Amino acid sequence: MTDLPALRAMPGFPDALALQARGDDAALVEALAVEYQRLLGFNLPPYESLFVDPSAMLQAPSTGRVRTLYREAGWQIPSDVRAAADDHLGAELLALAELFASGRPALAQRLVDQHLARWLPVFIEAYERLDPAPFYRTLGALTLGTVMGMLPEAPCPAPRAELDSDPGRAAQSPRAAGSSDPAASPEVQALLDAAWQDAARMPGRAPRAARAVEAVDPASTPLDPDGGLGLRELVRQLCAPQSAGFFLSRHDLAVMARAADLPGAAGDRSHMFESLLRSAGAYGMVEPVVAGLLARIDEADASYAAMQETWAAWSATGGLWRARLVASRALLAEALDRSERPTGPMPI
Amino acid sequence: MNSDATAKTSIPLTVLQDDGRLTHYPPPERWGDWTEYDPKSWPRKVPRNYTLVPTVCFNCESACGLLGYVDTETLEVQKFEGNPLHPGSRGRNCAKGPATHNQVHDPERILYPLKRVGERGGGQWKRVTWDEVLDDIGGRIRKAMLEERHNEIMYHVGRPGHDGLMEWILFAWGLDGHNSHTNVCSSGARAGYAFWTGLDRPSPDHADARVILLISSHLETGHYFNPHAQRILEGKHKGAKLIVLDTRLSNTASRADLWLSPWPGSEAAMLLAVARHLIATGQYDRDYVRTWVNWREWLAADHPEAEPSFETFEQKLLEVYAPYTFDYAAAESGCDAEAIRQMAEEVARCEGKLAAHVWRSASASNLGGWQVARTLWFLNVLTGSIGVEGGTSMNAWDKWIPHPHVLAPHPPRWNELTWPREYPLNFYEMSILLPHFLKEGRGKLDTYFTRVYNPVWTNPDGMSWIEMLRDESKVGMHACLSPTWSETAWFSDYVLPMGLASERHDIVSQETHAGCWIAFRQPVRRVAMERQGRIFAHTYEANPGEVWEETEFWIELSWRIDPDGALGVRRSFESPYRPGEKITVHEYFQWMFENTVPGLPEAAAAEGLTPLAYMQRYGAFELRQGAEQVYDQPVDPSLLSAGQSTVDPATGIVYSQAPTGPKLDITPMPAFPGDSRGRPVGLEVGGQVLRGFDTPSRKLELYSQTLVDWGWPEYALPTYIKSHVHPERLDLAAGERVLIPTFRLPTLIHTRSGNAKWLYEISHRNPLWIHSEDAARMGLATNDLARVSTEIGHFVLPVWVTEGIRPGVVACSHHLGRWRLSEQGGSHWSSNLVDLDEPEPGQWQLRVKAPAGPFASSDPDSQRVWWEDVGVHQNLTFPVHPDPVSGMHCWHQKVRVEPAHPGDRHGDVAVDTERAHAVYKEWLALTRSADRVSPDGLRRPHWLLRPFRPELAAYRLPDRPAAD
Repeated sequence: MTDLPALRAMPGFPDALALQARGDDAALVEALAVEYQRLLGFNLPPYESLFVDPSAMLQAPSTGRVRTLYREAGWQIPSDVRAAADDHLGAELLALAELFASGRPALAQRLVDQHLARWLPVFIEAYERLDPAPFYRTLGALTLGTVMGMLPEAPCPAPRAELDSDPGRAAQSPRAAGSSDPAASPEVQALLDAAWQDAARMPGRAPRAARAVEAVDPASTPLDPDGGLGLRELVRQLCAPQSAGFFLSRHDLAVMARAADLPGAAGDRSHMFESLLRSAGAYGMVEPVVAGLLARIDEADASYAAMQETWAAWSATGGLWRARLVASRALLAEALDRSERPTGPMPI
Repeated sequence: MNSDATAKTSIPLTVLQDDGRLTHYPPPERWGDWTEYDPKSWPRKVPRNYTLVPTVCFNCESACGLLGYVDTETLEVQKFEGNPLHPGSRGRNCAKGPATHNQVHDPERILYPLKRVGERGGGQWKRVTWDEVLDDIGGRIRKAMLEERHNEIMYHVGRPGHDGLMEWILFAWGLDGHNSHTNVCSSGARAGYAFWTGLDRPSPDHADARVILLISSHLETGHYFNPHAQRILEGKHKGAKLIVLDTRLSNTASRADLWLSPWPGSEAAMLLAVARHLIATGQYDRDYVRTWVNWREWLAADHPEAEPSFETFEQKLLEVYAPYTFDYAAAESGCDAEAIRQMAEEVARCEGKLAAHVWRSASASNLGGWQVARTLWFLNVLTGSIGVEGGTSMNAWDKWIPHPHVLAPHPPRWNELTWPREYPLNFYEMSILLPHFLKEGRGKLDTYFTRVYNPVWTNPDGMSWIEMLRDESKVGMHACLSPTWSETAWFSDYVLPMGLASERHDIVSQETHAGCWIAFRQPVRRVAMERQGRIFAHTYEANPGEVWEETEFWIELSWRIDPDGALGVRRSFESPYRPGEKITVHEYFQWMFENTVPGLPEAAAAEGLTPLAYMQRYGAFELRQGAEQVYDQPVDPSLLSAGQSTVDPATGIVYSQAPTGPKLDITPMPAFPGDSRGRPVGLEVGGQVLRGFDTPSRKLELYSQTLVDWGWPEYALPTYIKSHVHPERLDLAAGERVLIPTFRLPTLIHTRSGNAKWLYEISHRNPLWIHSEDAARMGLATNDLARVSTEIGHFVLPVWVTEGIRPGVVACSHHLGRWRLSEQGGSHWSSNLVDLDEPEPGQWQLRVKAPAGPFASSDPDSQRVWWEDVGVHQNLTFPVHPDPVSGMHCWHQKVRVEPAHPGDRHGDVAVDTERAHAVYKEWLALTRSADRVSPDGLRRPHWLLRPFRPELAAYRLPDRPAAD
């Protein structure tokens, strides 16, 4: 249950709670519970693997890496915490607190450097787009600030290892890639290549390196209502933050559908997204939908740039995320181009 | 990683199976400690150690075996493969089985119990604890029971996926509160089979058949799809002829030796033409028919003047069926008469090995569809292909539901919301009519559980369901038990996450082939951790989040309904091993495995295991291999001892007053409590007393006295009823067509596979199949939008022009077309649901368009239910069509197809629920109510199958008291 007195004693929260209050404390607690469910229950599952694994599913290889760190620390998630996976944000933060409390700053730093700092900013970027109620907005900002404040003063190496599902392979750390034009950087291009190679190892993925910037197979028409490989590839790329560079939430998709006067079909995110693209194709609304996506990418880019500005130590990681955004823009440009070509017969 | 894991090898093993096939499965003796390379580490060879836990798929009804590979280090489920020891699926699975992994690891699934905040359907939820849920619902039910409002408590299930559990629960609660999905599914087939045999479901032995006759797209999507499909192909490989009646050129049709594409609803006419051919040419099993058919009863009833000989019967039979010539069948079906003759000649050559099956398809789609099953079974009867190798058995012979340690008496109540008087012969609950009954004021619900059931989307007339569910005066509390979100969950007060295939305990037994088995579903992570010595009080402690399982949920809830035992509920939930204490989930199954599964204790002992440990290790037990001609077996001699048994000279039925042993199997059966002579136990046949069938005559009832007595004398014999979509009722020239809306897609399972990305990746559209001639006539090309108008509304979708369907008929799969209601600020229900407008009461428009006014950015996503795909949700536009006899919703629709109107969009749906209610009344008027026709003052023939059967006294109509 929410401990209101404790929250009210913490800096920043009294105001946030006052802003949110509607009625008595019980009503406030209930409002907080509803908002929690909206934010993290429906829109933004707070698990690292969603952000760093190409599958964007729970219990991915990256979850194993978090688990390995816990094990090295001799730490276990308390048995009364019932998360769906060990890389739940709350679990990582709890581990972080306990590592510091128990005097193991090196492991705590690793948890920040190799895990939290790599995905939390992307998570928070999507979280803030959900327009959280004041309490949660404060909580999000505080969490991000705390974690980012733990990054070392010097820019940390770009996290090549996170692209690589094989932690045993030596991670070559390229130079920082936080330039204002990430696409222009050869380091970023190298990272992109690595990302595509990593993605190519996913089952069912063709090993097409740097597909976003190279011409793709003309037979693959991303917005062809036939639903060829291209459309699904596009959806897969953009629904996995690890390749897209941002988290495309149900909220984002609904906003885009509404803006284009298109069906708000749903299911899981990839299903919603594919439906949105299909109907956009059917009604000649590809351009506005793609424009909506590009705007979404621009917002993410601006947000990451601001974070790079605020936390210099995150500039390399932020550069990588921004490079992914560049790739997503290229992919969308390609999709838009293909949507203007004639379509074939419908398969069943 | 285990320290010695790298020392272990991962050598793929070649296993020689009993039937000579080679395949690769980890040998069962190594399931507890299995090492293989991690595929995701490829090309490096990284060994991972697993404990393999058997479980049972929970996606479709087949209950195929799965093996969960649980990593012994991380305790996560790495993958699911087949369980080679499962007798039904034999280690093979369809796409839906391994996709359980997707469902388990779906980050967007429901992980915690949720309670609504604000008004129902408003879309605001908060997480609550299981204790809060149990106390609230338990208190509510207790109050209703104390106030004698038992009939206001209803449990409504879509896919049961388990056996025996709810009989235990609901009988303990003393309710007639079970509701099902049956009358959108199988009521027609059940009625057709039950009037013949007393039992309601076929169990064909495809693998050994000479002729396989399917009325469905069974190879790809039918009931028991995977177990049946593999055996159909085995049968074909061994030389069986495959005959398929399917209006569409389905994958199944494409594999047939003989495919006929009938006009929808004409199937019974075709089958009777086959029957007539067998009779007229003498190519039927005369001895079998003479022995097992109740022909004497028919002659006595309809031809009392005639010599009661078998020859007279044969003559009269031919007279009755003489009109069903090949030419007549051809005229009705639109098929070639020669093709129908060919079908008849193939059936005639089956040599008593005809495996035939219908479950939904034609029997679920047409007025009188139950006669499709009845006429199909006629062919089994004529060929003697019943209960024999290569023939067709009845489900109860091949199914085993173990009796639990306590089963409370049959409840002393009758619920007219599910078993209304207008349908005394229904199979079974009139589930689709619930919104109309509540609208008419026939009752209300205090506590309504929906469980893996999504009537808003799946049922016809979904808008009427929405109207019902949002009305708190009609439905006091709605708890939705489901692993995933659904349209129905949106209108609930609690969403209670229940486990998937790898997250729950259940027993399940299905009649998948010639044999009998039970299987054990298990929460695989819990089992894996128990193997490591962990102990759990509740399965949700081991599942992701707080996902629970129903067995434990109902035990806990029952205990809170009756904490002191005063209501008589609690005693069913006391441990058989620890008197007075609450039973655990292990004890519940342990007792059954030890006491009511014949052969299991011995098989377990042979391996030094307890029966529970045996099932935990292997996940399945085979009670019998091969077909069993149950009705042809001698009656237990102890029942026939002198002075305790009597033979009725007129019928040959043998009655016995001898006591029976304890009941071990609770598979629903017809009821024959008997009279002063005792209860009927057998039939005298050629000097022997054989068991016979579970019918009043103990024979196969070609002639149904029950149908005669209960108001339908015109259907005394198997016959052909012209469908509500018969060509005579259509104006083809005006653009009217028949819509087939029932076919499944092989990789999806109703609304339960929505969170399996792998499955939706394979299938995700539902365009309208339309023949090229029709398309040309209407000026439609593939991908053009068409408007399809039903009796109560219309929907808009793209067409797929094909010659894989008959002219005059169009088709659309029901598996797709789920929609999501977008949110919009505001408190009123309809204004919350932007895409679903009700501009006037009962006038619904599902129009996917931008909401008027600005979208508040704080407007929560929680004010939104997600619906799947951009296909069209056609079922919303179908009114209810309950068959007046079987109660089956007759799915086929007479529609008008035309090019989309200006402004129409794919996915548009318009519905008039007032008109829907009027159509309900039109079909209701076709019924013959028990009030009028009951010959004995009962609501329903007491012998007839009825799940969750109340006590006999509850059968009596209130205004027709017993004579004594």
